[in-house]
Amino acid sequence: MPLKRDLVVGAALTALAIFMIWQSQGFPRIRAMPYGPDLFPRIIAGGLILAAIGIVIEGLRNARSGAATLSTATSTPPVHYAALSFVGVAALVAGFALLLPVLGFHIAAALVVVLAVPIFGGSLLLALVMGGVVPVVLHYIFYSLMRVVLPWGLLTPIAW
Amino acid sequence: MDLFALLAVVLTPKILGTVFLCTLYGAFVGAMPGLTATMAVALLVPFTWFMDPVQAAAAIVATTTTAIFAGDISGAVLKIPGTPASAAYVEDSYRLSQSGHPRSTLYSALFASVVGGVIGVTILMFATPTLTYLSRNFSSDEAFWLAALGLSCAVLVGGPSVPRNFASLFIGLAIATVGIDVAVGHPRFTFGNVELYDGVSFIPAMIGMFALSELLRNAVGGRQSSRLRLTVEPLREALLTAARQFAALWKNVLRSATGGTFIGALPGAGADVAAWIAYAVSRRFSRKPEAYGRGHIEGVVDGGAANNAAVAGAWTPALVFGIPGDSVTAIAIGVLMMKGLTPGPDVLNTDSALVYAIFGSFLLANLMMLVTGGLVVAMATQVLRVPRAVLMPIILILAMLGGYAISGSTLAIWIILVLGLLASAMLWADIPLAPAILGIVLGRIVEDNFMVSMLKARGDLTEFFARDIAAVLGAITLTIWAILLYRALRSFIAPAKPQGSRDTTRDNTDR
Amino acid sequence: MRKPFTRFLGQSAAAGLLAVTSTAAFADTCDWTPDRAVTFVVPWGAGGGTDANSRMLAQMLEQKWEVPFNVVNRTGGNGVTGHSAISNADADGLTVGAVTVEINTMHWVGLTDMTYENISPIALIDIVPSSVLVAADSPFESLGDVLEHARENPGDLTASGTSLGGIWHLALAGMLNAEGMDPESILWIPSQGAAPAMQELIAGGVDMVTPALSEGRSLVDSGELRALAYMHDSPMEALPDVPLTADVLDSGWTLAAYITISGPEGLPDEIACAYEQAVQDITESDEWAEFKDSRGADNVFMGREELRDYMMAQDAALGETIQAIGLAE
Repeated sequence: MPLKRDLVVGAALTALAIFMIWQSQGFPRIRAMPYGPDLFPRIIAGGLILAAIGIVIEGLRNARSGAATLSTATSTPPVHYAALSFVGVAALVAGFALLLPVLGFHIAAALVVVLAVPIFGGSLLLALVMGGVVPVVLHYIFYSLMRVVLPWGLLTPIAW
Repeated sequence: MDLFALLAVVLTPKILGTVFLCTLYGAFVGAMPGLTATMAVALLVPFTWFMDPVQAAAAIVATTTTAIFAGDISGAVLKIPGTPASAAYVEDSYRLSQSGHPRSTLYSALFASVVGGVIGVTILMFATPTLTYLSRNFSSDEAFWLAALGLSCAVLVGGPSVPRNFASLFIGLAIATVGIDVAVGHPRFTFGNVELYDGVSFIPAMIGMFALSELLRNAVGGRQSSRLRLTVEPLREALLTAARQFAALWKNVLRSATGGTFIGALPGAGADVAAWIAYAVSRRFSRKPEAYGRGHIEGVVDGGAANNAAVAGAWTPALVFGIPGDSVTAIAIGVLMMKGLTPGPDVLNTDSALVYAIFGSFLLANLMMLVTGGLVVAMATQVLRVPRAVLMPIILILAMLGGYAISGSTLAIWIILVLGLLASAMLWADIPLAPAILGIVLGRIVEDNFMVSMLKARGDLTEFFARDIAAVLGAITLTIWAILLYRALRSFIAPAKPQGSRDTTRDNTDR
Repeated sequence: MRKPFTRFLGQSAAAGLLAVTSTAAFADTCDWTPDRAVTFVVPWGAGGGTDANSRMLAQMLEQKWEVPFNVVNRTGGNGVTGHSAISNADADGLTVGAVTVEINTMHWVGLTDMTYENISPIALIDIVPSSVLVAADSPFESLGDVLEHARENPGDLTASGTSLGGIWHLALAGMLNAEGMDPESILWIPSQGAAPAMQELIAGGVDMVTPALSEGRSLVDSGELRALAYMHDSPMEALPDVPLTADVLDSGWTLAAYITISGPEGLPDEIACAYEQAVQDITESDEWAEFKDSRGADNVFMGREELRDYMMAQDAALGETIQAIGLAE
């Protein structure tokens, strides 16, 4: 598994690097200078490829020595994501981005909260209560107190 | 003028009241995701019209100082760092607060910030000529080397795997290349979206990488842990623990605050670079480098002290040249000029009363922050007591709202989503996040200054060493890079050994 | 001190004047008022000159009309994002914004198709002429010295102040072009704005900067920088001794950025007229005068009709400059 994962990571990084190099072909140059806006993307792409090679070598070596993955990472250990909840939260973020301008903050935020509470294990009652309270409180803090412009959407007729 | 005389200038009921209210306001705004010190100060401007000059200066200074500290609160409680500077140690402070120490952690950070701020002001007062010399000679050459030096921290803020740290750093740098390039104004990797011309902004990027990836991870926990509540220490115990931790780390605070002030005084990205370098240096010299990034208080204290000291240092270019280092000082200068202050090299003579009032307000605000910041910490950490099923949806909506508030555009929410998914993938691949954040913060600064310097030198690379400070900074940076490269190669090429001996390798690398 | 700006109108604008006045129906009533919060879009970041002017104006409009005026900084795309947000908003008077001189440059360099035709000008509130500033230890004592050196040693000198193709770049390149020189005989070093450029100048990284004189005023006052020229035809009150390009240059070159309050495309006359009236009242107030004074800026005002003509003239002039220096798409 770790080796397979490392191969996937290496391939992904290489793909990103190739994409950057391919895109930077079309960047204009500065007159009288051998490089321009394409210099840093190329350097970074080179770094990504080196890192990808390093990760694959690391994976191969670990696979051969049978050791657990070399890296113990300072970050969170990998978790097997329960796919549905994961996709659910991601979909809520995308939905909020799409619906915020159309529905307005109150409705969009209420929808997100009502749907998010069950994902994080809360009851339907809790979801409804929070869906009613949280958007109003946040709207007061951000819009009324801090003057952050939030869209009213469908509620425009009653906007203040 | 000594410190007490300074305080005497501002110890009037009116100023005391102003500073008290403003530190409270700053702490509240700073602790809310997406509400920045810049917004806090911008909203304050209309009120400063009705204030006398000293009061106006005190209000701005108090709000800024506390808002920057309060960025640590949302970092520890919600994993949404308030500033790119707080991002350096958010992994530690968040883990500490998750493991039942939110208050002692934040109080330690508070003490470090207060002392860091006081040291910063003291240096600002007594070493203005030195700070002035530094910022007067700071061109794109020096800025490039400083940012490049900051980048080498990536090795020290990541995990033990060298290729993975590099992968992370380069992913961050790749994200930083999005937007119009400085040299010819060509849009890169923007996919035709003009809103991306300015690049990926920090706040949504940090919210995505830290907060959303954490939420996604938590979503998986599902029903089993929904009633789980985190423990929050009693106030008394937390204060005692914090005092103990702080007392044990006073040397760190002194070191980081001094360094932070000087780096903060440099134009550009002072405070951000200061916090990352302080964190990295702290790890380098710590007895427990392996604990960093997993919930270790030392880095939080170092980073916090450097962060707030840098805020004080950042006033040097503003006061001495009237050149704002960031948008907060830009607004502040506008207000102060309205109140009759003329920034300039002899500002200490011409406008001494106002300048000393600013210094005094800084001191007072930092001291007052002990009380108001402490209050906000006590209240904010209560949030952790609510069940996960209540807390997580609130963090989710706050994260998105915070991103939106920065730019007033839904693009920020898409950035949060994309970077949140990217961060989840990186966690799956065992790639640390911190170097990527560093890359996003510094990538633009490194490239812009490199290109500007090259344009000035018509492509002559030796120009990077033609100026005194640049030559010194460049030599330091290249030496550090050489050492890091040598060690990285050695630890990588050295054959993999069983668990025990690998720790030795890491000790060598980190000590 | 308020100054009329009719004298800026070129021939082309004067010709257009008749057409404009005849199409713009004069609203009888100017008593429209917003019934809820108004969004005030600023295409530039917090802390800059546009932001400061906009926030002050928003604050005073808020006092006048007693509804909140919420300022939002929609930065990005060298101004495209914010200007589009103003242009595309509902024309109900509840979204207005600070349209700046970039409305006359962005479309020429190919950043957008939007022009001043796609917004509804309400009033001009600030005019910020460019300048030529050098460090105190610079060998150049006058603009003539600089131009002579650049003529004899093309490419030797460097200047900064904003991004490539930004308004202060046009100020310099346009001046060189007007003086019959190669616009690139002074090399432009891009920067993130006037402040970092002045930092670079003090640190000895570039030879001169060409930002708004008001932005460099405190550094000139303190003797840190020397102002060689003010790209305008009447002196700035705060710095009356700076030579005017209109006097010292054969071409009489001048260049000023400007800040307006404008509405979305198709803003009804009744609303535009109400705003125009309100802004005029504000610019005549003592509080506004004091604000302008503190920034070292001249207090200016221009109504809708006049502003529209002004934008038209600027558009033609800046387009010519951009084409002349080879930045046009």
